[in-house]
Amino acid sequence: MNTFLPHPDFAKSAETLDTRRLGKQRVEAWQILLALTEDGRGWRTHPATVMWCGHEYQLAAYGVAVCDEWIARGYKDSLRERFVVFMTGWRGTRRAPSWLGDERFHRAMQSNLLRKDEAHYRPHFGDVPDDMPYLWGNVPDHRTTLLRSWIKERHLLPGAVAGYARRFSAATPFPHLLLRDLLLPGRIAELEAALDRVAFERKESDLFSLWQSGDLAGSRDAFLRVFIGFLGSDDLRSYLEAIIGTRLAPRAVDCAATRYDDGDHLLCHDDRLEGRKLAYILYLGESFTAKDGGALCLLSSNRDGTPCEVVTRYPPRRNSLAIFLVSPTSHHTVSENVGGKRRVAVSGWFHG
Amino acid sequence: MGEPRAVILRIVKRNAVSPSGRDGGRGGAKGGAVSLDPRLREPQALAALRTAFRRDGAIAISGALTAASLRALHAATSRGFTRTFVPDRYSYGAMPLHADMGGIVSFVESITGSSSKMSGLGAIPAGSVARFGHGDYTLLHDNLPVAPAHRIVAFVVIDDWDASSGGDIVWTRDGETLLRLSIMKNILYVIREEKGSRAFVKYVNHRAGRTSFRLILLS
Repeated sequence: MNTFLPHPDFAKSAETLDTRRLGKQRVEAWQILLALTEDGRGWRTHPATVMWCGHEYQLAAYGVAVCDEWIARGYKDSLRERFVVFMTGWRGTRRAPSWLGDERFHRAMQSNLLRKDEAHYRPHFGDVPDDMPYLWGNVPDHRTTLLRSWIKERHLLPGAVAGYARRFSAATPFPHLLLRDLLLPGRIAELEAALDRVAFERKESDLFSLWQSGDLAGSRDAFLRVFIGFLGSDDLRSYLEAIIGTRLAPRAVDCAATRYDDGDHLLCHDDRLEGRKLAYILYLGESFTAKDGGALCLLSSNRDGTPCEVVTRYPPRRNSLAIFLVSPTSHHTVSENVGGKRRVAVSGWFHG
Repeated sequence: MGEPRAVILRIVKRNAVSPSGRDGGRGGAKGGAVSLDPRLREPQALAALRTAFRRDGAIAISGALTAASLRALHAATSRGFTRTFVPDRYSYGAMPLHADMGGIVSFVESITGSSSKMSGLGAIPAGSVARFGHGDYTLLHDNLPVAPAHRIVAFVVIDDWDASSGGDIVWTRDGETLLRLSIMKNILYVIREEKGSRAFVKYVNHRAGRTSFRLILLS
């Protein structure tokens, strides 16, 4: 299971491949595409799959290139049309992966092809050694000590991160994701206990009625200082970047606690303010049902960017993290709390 | 709004007007002019209102309309509202105002000393009727113009309302609340907007149930 890219250019890579390997590449590229885009498909955690996560359009383009070369060599093909249909219907990013064009990555590919068929590939790759390991697109492993001390490990597996990245970019009405049951039980309980010690101030405006803490980064509470350290860590930033496919600024994160009592609400807005890149809400306390209100509601937008209607709702669930990219169309609300429960969360923005 | 406070003049309440009013049920909105309680036109009352408006820039006259006029306005605005909804700007029911409010407008002009066209209330245009129920609001959207100096807003509320349900009308400038008005039945508000201020209607929460209130904006 692999895709072979001895060169940055897909067509040139396809031209270079031996015919046996070229024919199999059509099938393997299609299998990886299915693993990335259809729930329940196998190979999702394989490094060859993970390296294409968030770059599905480019993988399909690679599939077309190998099919074209296969047909040019006089063989019949039934897969090219599938790749083309996928590309036509694709609504996500067309961004190229960061490893494409990285000389180290392509030399490693050439080295591995040399091990498979020295006679065919040596004229193509000159003096490239034949003992280099696969680089697998430099897929990072997020199972660091820090992240494992806060986040349940199942959320950190490469396959899980790949799946989250796919869901994030494909989500409607704008890129977002809800990670359920995220933190370790002890951590979420400690955080709730710490927030019990925080003072909340009443906030009222045309847009909202709610209770809010001060900036938690300035808290003297020992646990909250540890929590803010985790939020601002390079490890968490790298994890989130792998999901959202874009860079965040180091150690630039706002954090405050909010509480919505009966009748409290937050009306439609887009969160845009200079520097804000990724909004997050970590829900604490009692979980809500749909009839309790307090839901994060995401709205679709017209072509001119005017918000239209709520198309996605997430009732608050304890220990869930909602994230979304801040943009001119990231219109959202918090529906009125009507169930008499207290909706408690920590929220803010990662800057970029 | 020289000073950001509303003065409630209880001229009519003090005199305990009966529900039928002095006009004996005449002077309704449908097919006739909407009438003020005639005691408001007495020289002493008018002088007090002018003084209060000059001083405070905001007056509230409870029991302003005759009972018959109020009944007629209720009937004339009982149906025909169209929902006006842009999520990041406003949500309310709107209908054009057909009643003859000429007498009320003249009265307001005699208090303010201005015959200029009156202004809308935030996102709600002058000369219209707005109905607010659960989930309704208006917001201070970026495109909502700020008030120039001495702009007058005048409107009548024709429904009872529980203040815990929201719906307050608020003027702000640079994040500071200048004036907050409560919704009360048969109250006429006359406001001179402060330069640079903007108004919104606070979100109506679930405690309103199925009830709503109607504002009649003069023009």
